[in-house]
Amino acid sequence: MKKAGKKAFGLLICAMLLGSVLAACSSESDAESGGSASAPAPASDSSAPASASASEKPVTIRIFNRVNAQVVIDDNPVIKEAEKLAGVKLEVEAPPINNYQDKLQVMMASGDLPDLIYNWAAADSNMETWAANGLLAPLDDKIGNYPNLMKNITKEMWDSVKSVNDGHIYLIPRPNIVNHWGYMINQTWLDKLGLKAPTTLDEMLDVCRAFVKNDPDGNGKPDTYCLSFSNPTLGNNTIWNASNFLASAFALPTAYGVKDTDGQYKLREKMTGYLPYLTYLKQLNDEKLIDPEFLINKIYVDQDKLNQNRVGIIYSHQYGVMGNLSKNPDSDKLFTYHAPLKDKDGAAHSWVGPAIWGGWMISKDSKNVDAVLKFLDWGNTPEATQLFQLGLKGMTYDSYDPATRAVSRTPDQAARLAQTTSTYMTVANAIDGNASIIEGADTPERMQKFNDQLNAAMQQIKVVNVPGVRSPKILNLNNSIPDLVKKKDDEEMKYVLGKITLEQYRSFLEKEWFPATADAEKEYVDYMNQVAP
Amino acid sequence: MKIRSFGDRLFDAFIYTVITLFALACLFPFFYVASFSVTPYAEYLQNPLKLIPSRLEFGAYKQIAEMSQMWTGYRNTVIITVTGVAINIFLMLITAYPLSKKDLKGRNAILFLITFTMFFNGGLIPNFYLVKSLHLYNTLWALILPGALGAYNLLLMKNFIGAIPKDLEESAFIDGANEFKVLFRIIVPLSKPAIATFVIFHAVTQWNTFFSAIIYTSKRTLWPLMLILRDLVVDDGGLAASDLNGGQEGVTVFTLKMAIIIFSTLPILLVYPFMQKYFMKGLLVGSIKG
Repeated sequence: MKKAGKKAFGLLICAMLLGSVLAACSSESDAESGGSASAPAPASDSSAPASASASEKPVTIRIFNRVNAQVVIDDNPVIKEAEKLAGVKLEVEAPPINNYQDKLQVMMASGDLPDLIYNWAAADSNMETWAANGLLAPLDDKIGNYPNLMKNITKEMWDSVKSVNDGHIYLIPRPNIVNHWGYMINQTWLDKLGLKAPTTLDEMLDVCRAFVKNDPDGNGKPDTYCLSFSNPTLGNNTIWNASNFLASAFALPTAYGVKDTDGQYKLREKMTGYLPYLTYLKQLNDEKLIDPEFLINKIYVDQDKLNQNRVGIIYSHQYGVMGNLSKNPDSDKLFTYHAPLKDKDGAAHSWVGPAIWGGWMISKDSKNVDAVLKFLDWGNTPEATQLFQLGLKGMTYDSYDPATRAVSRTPDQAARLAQTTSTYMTVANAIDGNASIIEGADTPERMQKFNDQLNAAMQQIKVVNVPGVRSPKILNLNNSIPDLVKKKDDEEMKYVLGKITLEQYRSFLEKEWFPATADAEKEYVDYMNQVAP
Repeated sequence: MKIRSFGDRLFDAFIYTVITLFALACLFPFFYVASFSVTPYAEYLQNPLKLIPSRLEFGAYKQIAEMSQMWTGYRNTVIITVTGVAINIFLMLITAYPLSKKDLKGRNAILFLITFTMFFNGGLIPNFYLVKSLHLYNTLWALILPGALGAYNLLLMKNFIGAIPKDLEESAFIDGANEFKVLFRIIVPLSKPAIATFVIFHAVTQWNTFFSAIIYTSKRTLWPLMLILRDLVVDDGGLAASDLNGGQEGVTVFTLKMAIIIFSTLPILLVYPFMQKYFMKGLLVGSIKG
């Protein structure tokens, strides 16, 4: 026993020493790199000219960004190339994408802020709080000096991020691709049944009935549904986004900022198309044309069901079919993208709000505000966007044609691309509303299909530009009257599912919903009449 | 030998059936994940409940093996598990042994302070400050030291050591042993089942660590495996967002997710059966007071 005890003790000490050495090795290497991180930044105060000479030591910019897990940040060749092109030294911190907000909150609370911080939800209540607490630099007076920022970021985008508290700009929007929401349909089902993609509500009903009753997948079983929606979190009204292609036929926008058919701004539930739209959904549900699980589908589940031949139609934007190739290698052969349905006047509405994907905030304590803005200015050039979206020639792609956005890469290059960059790395994800590439469209045939489908859809689509709504009360109903919002969503769904009558629902709206939201509606209408009369 | 009636045998059959079904229900999710990690995606689409694939497709595993961060994740997880467990057991033994002595001066005050931490702690932001001030931020120590000694397990260990007959220690003292000798030559060998249990408890906790890595590190080279797994799998985090290697037939986000789950849980699953006998014994650790 004596011997065994000694042996166990020896093993324990050995394991501790080994672990300590290994852990210490990691700490040392981190301490080394951490040392450079905490080293004083090269001389470049906010009064320094934006164009520093090449001989000067580049300014170090600490960036806190939301990047997907596959990208390896350390010794990243794309980041190194960006440093070379922008003339800066970048230190990128990228916490896990699913916990980005947690880490951001902790970091902001600790007060130890990097120079440049990405905020996914753009000018949200968090940004307002941080700005009010003096953590963020106001940028209104400076942005005019940066031509690429002013060119690529539209007035609507700037307006959409102004603080509702003091009207200042604390966030540089990250321009994004302009999406035209429509739907994705199983083309092989249509072809088999001799049908065409629907463009009106009546055609949609016909196609839906055929998809459910005529065994489009040919397995001899009545196991298909026409439509599915995903993640209809009632409090968030996501059903609205997911059924946008139907709501379009009722001239019913998914977001605030659009006039009703009578030319007036009003609460969505008061708009002309609202109740007819719900009634149409009810009819689809009554005829069992909608996937009965639509209320509990989590995000992407509708897409999985489309891929599994369980439903024939889901909502999608123009990039949906090719983007789905990562889930279904035959996506381009099976599915097609189409415009939303036309309303009674023949218009297929695509309401396009300020296309931004969050934005960049600069710490008030940063000694490099101008250098950071200069970097963001470079980030809004085609050169930067192409670098972050395509990677490096030879390493992640063979050839690229900016005119057609066609890119060719080998499987090895594609694998390297996934580890070196992604759209999350971009400073601006689009130049003039367009990305450098079309995800998934990696062959001429796929590119052709994408263009054909987009062109066909755009011939039908009526684009309506929607200003960013900065009217806090209407946007904060979920926080100010959460129980009533939930009740309204519940009642809405009850009507669609046939649990209550139209009269009962209308009575609820008039007695409870409209009085409770009157104040928010007035503020919204006044705001909109001011910014877009 | 006792003669078993028909009723006894029927009851046994019933019990075995229920236990077998329960075991299968536990095993099914793992088998499902393992099966679809090697099933061609087209087959999954045709029948999402087909558990036996017509052919095995290992493209997803190949792709994972080429992800460098999976290997750094493995390295980090092994380091924090081995070091964390070693430190945990060492600290637990040298703390539990003196606390098991009823004549230790200030024992109750110390126990009160230890128990206090079971119910109250500083919270996220103060802990973040603490880790930063101690210069542990962005080191693997930040994933090891803050949770190195848990109050609950310490109290269980104290009770276990307290249940060892005093006579054994006294005879060792008579033979000239000092406190350290008694601890490492008498108490430690007799506490093997308890130590083995806490090794498993702490190893599993360390293996599954991810939240402290989110808060206390900002470098991806320090991410443990479970954080990488979580970030890749939850809501299609890192996978759907970027182009996959389209050249590898049958590899989709779905199969890749399944393969990553297997890849990261396999080591702990392989170790577990060998530790299971201690685990079963150890479940009763500290529950009988001597």
